[in-house]
Amino acid sequence: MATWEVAIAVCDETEVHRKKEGDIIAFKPAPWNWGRKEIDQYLIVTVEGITQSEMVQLCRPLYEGGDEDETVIENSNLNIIGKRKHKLPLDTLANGWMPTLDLERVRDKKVQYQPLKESGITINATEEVAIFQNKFTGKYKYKDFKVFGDGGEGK
Amino acid sequence: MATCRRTATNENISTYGNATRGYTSLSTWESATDNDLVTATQSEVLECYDDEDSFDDHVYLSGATSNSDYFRIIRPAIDQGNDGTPNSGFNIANTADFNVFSLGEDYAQVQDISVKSTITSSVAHRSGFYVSGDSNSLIGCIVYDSYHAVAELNMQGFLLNNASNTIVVDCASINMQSVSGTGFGFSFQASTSMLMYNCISVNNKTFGYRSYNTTIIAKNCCASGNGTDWEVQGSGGFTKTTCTAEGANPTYKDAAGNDFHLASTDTVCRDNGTDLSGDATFPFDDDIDGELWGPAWSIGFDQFSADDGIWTANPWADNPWE
Repeated sequence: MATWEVAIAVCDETEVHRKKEGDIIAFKPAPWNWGRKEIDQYLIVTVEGITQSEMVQLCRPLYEGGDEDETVIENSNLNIIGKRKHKLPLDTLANGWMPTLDLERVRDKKVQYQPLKESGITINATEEVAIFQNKFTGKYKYKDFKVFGDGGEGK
Repeated sequence: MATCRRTATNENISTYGNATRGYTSLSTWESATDNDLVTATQSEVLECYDDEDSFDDHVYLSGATSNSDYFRIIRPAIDQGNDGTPNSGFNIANTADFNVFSLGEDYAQVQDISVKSTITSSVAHRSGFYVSGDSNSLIGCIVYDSYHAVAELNMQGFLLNNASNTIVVDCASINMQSVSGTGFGFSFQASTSMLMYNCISVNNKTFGYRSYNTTIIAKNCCASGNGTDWEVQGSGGFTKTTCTAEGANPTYKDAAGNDFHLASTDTVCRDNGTDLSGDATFPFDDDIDGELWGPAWSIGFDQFSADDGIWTANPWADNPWE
């Protein structure tokens, strides 16, 4: 298990296949010094208790057909219908991890606002906390990344 | 004359590298520029800086609305690209279970970037470059010393799958291997109108170039030291113009040191190519180092000169394609 910093999309693009709020766009090993534009455009969240392979899964696109095995996807050349298959809902972050999180400021790309990183808050993915939502099934992943739940509950 | 490093119309240039640049992740730039470029009459370019020995990164370009004028390019900033040898210039050394560069949209380009990939956990075959969109271009790119450690899965330098009208020029695939003893240099499948000019495929475990139900126009391409240099599976195959024969043995500058510029003593490739400066589909005049081909063209990615390995041209200056 390792600790990662993830870049989360903070607003919806109009087109259905482009990024949506909460999409997990990129991950880097923590601590990470992000670029100037990244700090403006994304919410940076630190997550621990998750492997690189699991981070890879969280950053995959959402394909037509949803939960198809990746080998099937490449062989059949399925269309991408969503920028990411998983998201980290901002309201879950606010409810479960940082009640003072100002979502309006998070969504405003003109404001440099990284409250979780600056407060040193690290989300522990091994706790029974619903944070990563599969957009195809609607279900959340938590606890060793292997258990699926129906919850949207916070911490 | 035309450099093979084409530019786009109305380029909006962002930068990649360490934290002094705009982006430290290829995916954050990709997501930020996944726009309707045609309506915006804007092309998006990411210029990469050699700020670190290598970058552990990957990206999946998909979703941008593009055409032949307005599209996305990833390329090194001036003087930051490879010098025709692996692990030189701006360099990606990926360890995540992704294809390093996946091009799923149309008209995108990647230029002059060296890539190495080491996969330890995966459910799929992996590639340095995986192209599934149409009309994409890979120019001056090198995939080298890549390894897939999961049984029954394969490492491929370049995999073009359902990627019609794709152009691959001055590229190299060197030493693709896997724990199962497989490795492809360039693999083409289920596509039409594929062009591959002045490429080199060396020391890949299974195949140098593989065609699977696809016809590829191959000009001035070199293969040596692969399990099989030229492999045709299913229908289609290679339509070759001055390419090396199966089992060819060119003389390289320093093969043991992964430098596949041509040696001055080479007689297999040097000056034995076809002049493509007037090619009907993709005319160009520069090699992996940015040096002008000629007066006689060679087979492979290198026009021999005493300055090989030294970038001698600024390919983006005075670009007639702009």
